Amino acid sequence: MIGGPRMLPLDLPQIFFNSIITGSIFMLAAIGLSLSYSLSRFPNFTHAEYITLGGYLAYLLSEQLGIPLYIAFALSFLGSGLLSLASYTVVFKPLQDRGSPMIYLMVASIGLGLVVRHIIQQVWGASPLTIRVVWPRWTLGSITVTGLYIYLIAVTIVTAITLHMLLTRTIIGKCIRASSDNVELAFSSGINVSSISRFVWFIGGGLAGLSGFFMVAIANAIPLLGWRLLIPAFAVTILGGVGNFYGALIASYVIGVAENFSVIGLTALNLPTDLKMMVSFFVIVLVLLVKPEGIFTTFGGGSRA
Amino acid sequence: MHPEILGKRNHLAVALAALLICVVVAAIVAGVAGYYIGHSGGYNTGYSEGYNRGRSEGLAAGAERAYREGYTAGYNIGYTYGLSNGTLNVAKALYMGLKDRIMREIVQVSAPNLPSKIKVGCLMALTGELGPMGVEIAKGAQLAVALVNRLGGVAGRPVELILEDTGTDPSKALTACKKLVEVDGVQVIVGPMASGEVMAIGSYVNERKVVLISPSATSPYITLNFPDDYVFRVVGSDTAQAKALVKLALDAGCKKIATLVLDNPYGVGIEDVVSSIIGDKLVVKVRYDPKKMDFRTELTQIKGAGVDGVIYVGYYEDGRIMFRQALELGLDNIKWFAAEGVYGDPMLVVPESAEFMNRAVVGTRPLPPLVSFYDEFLEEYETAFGVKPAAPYIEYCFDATLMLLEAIAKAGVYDGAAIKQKLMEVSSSFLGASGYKAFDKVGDQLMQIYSAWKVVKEAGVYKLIDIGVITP
Repeated sequence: MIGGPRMLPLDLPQIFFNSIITGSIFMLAAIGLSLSYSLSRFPNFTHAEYITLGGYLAYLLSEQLGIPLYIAFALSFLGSGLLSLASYTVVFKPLQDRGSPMIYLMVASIGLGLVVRHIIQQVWGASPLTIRVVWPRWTLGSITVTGLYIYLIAVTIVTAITLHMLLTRTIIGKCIRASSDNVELAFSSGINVSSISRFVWFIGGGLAGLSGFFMVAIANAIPLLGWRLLIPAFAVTILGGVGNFYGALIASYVIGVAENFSVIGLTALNLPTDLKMMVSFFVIVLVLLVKPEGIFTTFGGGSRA
Repeated sequence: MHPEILGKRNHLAVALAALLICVVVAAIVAGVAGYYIGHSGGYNTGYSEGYNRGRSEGLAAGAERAYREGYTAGYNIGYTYGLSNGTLNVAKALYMGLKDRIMREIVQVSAPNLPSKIKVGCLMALTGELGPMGVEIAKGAQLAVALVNRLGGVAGRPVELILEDTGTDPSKALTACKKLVEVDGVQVIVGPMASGEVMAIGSYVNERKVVLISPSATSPYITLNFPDDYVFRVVGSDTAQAKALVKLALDAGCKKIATLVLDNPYGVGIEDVVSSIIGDKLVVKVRYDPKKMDFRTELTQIKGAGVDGVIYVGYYEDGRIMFRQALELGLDNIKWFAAEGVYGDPMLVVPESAEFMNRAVVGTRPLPPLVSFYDEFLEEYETAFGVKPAAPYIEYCFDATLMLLEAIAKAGVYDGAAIKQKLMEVSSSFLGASGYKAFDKVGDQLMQIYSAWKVVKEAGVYKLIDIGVITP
């Protein structure tokens, strides 16, 4: 039998690289959740299904229809974005206009999510589906990378820069930040908050779809794909501060690193690595207890008043 | 080390002993007294020579051909001619087939003390995760009972099967089991299917002296928790499979080994046995959640530990992702040894997973029955249900039910303790639809042969092939 705790030699560069991959997925999954939360003021559980739909669209287009991956990539973004836009326009906006409290909206989002998930399950079945693409692989020192991970990291960097430019350099970005800071004030200054909200919901849903796309390319498509990413996505949102884009950016990688490094501790203690999922819950509880507004408020950006 | 593990070292010896008894009986009945010497000699020499040669030259040197020769010689001469043919000949000498066995051992016996109706309890997962499979497996018990009733019943008494649903839930299994025992008064139960369910009701059936045979529970914990008791199973324990995996790894020259297993009784059960056998050679143990689709850091840890062998236990869904990520991280330069959970064509659907298996994985799986009365079972099954058996373990459930009925007929009383005593005797000569079913002293299968498999690529197509046989 193995004795007490035992530390193994660490392959730190590879574990950091793994953390960046995990963090990039979290970032794509969480940005939309954080931004839509800040504008519409409720936690949207249907967000999980935007992720799932993006993943299944990737499977449908590239595996079933044989469309090249980069087109499937764009259509995953579009499909999930449209689902997000539709759910806001058809379900959440009318409820908000009727003055429904946050709890109603939250429950409605859970219900809508179940409907979407079960439709997906009816169409594609509950068994895991995979995309059969073989990616090239390179070894850089002790790190092994594949084309897919470079693709993912590139997409994340482009997304981060684009969103940064959008939020700081454009009128629409200023309107998003203004609405996020104070909806009523923004509205009375003449900003069309509904249009801004629709735009943000579309972009956020599309990014969630991309995280699903990459999850399916990395692993496989299952109906619970998005649901399993939702807890880390909420952890990122809360740690980064609701609506705080830069906070969410940093928080994604913080949780990615924490999750991957927890595996080291867990294996050293002979504990099952299932527990790495606890990291996200732990972060949520700790931040809510200590600093409920998120720990990155000092970074500015679109944090709420 | 657990005493029962040491005990199983003697499997071959016990198997031979059991065989000798069978053969002597056969000789008397069939008048072939000379059979024993030839068969026993052929078995010993052929099997051990072939097996040892295969073992020493085969996997260690990586020479498949040598292993194949060892496999062919040892397996064919030893196993087939020795045990299987021996058993088959014994069975055939004694009986004309399953129906003949039922007539002579169950129907045409005199047992004045049996009640006017024989009750058999049956616990199956008819709902829940295993529901779709449980509905099919229950048909095995239904068929056995219908067949015995058609031929005349147990010593002329009709048999009644009382089927209860466990809902794939250990606590519901216990409730259903108590209902069978307290309300219906059954002394024998077929089922339940899952190891967790068997473990939940084991101590209860021991206390109430009710005989239980599971058709499909494989966890080693069943043996560890309930040795020498009323719990039996007609499928091999994973203790044996873990030993087979260790044998593969050590024969391949591995000095530092990692285990990477599902965090459930199947995975952790095998990890425990491996750990108790190889001790310090096991340098890292990882238990993972099959639902999490990101195993890269677990794999990085194994890579960092500098092991030369990985013993892996997984299912299809997580196994494909695991192998794919292992290939990405370059873990194909380590030797992998996988249990039967990842044996199957679904693993080969993902090209990276198939390529990884082709490069690095050798596995084990229980060898399907070579010699049995399966054809007779199949004919009865198709007549009764109009379709072919649609799930694994149906024939195991069929055999378990027949063994219980035969033990009841031999005991002559409907009492768990008496039935249990006769069950050991029945099993030593029982050749059923799922093969030779002899129990060892703790109620596990005496003989479970494992085959070693690997993935080859022929003309661009990956496929699974058997490369040898392992007797743990």
